[in-house]
Amino acid sequence: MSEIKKGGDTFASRWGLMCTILGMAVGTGNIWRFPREVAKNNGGAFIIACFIAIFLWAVPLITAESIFGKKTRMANAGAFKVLLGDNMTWMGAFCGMCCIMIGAYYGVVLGWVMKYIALIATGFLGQVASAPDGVALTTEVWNNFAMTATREVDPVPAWQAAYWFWGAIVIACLIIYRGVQGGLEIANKIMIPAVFILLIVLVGRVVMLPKAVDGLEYMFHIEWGDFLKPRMWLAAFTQAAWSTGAGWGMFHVFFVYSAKDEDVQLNAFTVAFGDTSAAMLAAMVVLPAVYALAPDPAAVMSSGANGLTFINLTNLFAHTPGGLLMAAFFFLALFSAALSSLIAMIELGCRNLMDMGFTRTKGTLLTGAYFLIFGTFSALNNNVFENQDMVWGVGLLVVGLCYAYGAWKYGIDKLWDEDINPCSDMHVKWMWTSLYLFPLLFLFVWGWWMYDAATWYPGEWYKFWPITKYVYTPGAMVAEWGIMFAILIALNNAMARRLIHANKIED
Amino acid sequence: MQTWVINMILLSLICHGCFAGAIKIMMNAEAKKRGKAKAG
Repeated sequence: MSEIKKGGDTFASRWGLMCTILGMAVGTGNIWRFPREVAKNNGGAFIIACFIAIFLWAVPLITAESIFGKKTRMANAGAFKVLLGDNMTWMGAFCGMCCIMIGAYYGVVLGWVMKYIALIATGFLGQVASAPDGVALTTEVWNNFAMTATREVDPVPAWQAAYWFWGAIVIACLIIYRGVQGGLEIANKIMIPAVFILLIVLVGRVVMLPKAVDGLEYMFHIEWGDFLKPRMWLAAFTQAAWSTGAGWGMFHVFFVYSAKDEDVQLNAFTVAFGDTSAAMLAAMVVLPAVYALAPDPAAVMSSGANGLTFINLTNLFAHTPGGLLMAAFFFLALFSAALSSLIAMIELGCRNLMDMGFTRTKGTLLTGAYFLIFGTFSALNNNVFENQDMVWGVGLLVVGLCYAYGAWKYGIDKLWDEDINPCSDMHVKWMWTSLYLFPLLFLFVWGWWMYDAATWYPGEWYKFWPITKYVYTPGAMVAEWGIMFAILIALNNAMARRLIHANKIED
Repeated sequence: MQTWVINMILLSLICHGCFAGAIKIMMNAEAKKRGKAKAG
């Protein structure tokens, strides 16, 4: 590559950058969310809607984020300050904080996956296979591990889940501490090909199971009437947003380390379809496996992310010839996908602090400590986890709007002419200018989520305390975003003064 | 051939094809850049 590290951090190669942004995008949203959404939304039509959502939502937003990072060589808060003025620093900081709040509870998921890899390694599947009721055993183990705080009888904090979560954060921080080339790039160059290879091997094994073809048939049958259902479009746009990570601010941070001639549009396109490829492979593992092995596939697919992965799939693997290997491969793929996303979130916090003059060591320690403190609440009580998932998950849509606003304010056409097109091998302008449509799409997706959440709490939609009771209310979302906005607006000038340490690179 | 099999082939081709095609463009661009650097 033309960029050589001289004073600033850069990726050693374009392949390294590609693996890292793919690692950020490919996460649990692909492996356990996409298959459930395909099942819930009746198969093929939903997949086509996802492709459309990728072009209209994901690619323009990823491009916008990437160009913010590449142009300013600063993370979220610094880039908004440079491009939109000191007074808008808080908006960039909100983008970063939203992602950091997600990272805090996302680490809990990685802890769960690590626990299940340990369980599988110590013969748990054998116990499930010999138990009179496998599902009862996997349910009991899961509930005693992560759900102890939400059970009706004798609720106690789930300390075991917290210990595994702390382990997950330590591993992720060690990778970030090693820097861009020595940590992030090497880890993702190993983990991302591993995810694809593990998923391809699993597809090969699963489709050989009797009745697996029923799962594939369900996944790929298309009912054209589904295209008239607004809810399916909502699910497709939400999937595109949450799975690719478009508008989360993480692509932004990685492009701080990119080469000067990096093609942001081609990278955005590649990562959006790479992410969807991983999701399709995961669905081609999960759906056929469930149809082949479960007596009631619909019930299994509607059992939620945790129910599907930690209860039902674990039980199904235990009762399948060669299931031990399948389970090991599945959970290792999930581990790699989740860890590669978590390190991206920690890097985001670290880079924002480095822009304020902190060293990488201090940045990593401070971000890790923040993740440990906030994530522990989610690990101890699953209702807090669910609340944070809803509040900051929907908050990410707001972050996407902030990026679209930033690009519009700076000039969507200006960015194309000055920064995107000159370095592009694609030159497909509509894939960028569709960002003009973003406010409408945002209103549809965000508005629907808020409306939906209000209908779940008739008469109480505005309440927010205690959050363990009002887990999904619009009141809880607005209150938590409001607190974050207030803190960041109050700190705006102080942050703007300190944000002067861009990652300058030389040819 | 059943319709869902055709759908599976088409949708997989679109998705994995776009991914692979984009990587191919990227590799070509890198090769061109390396060629230029050598010639320069």
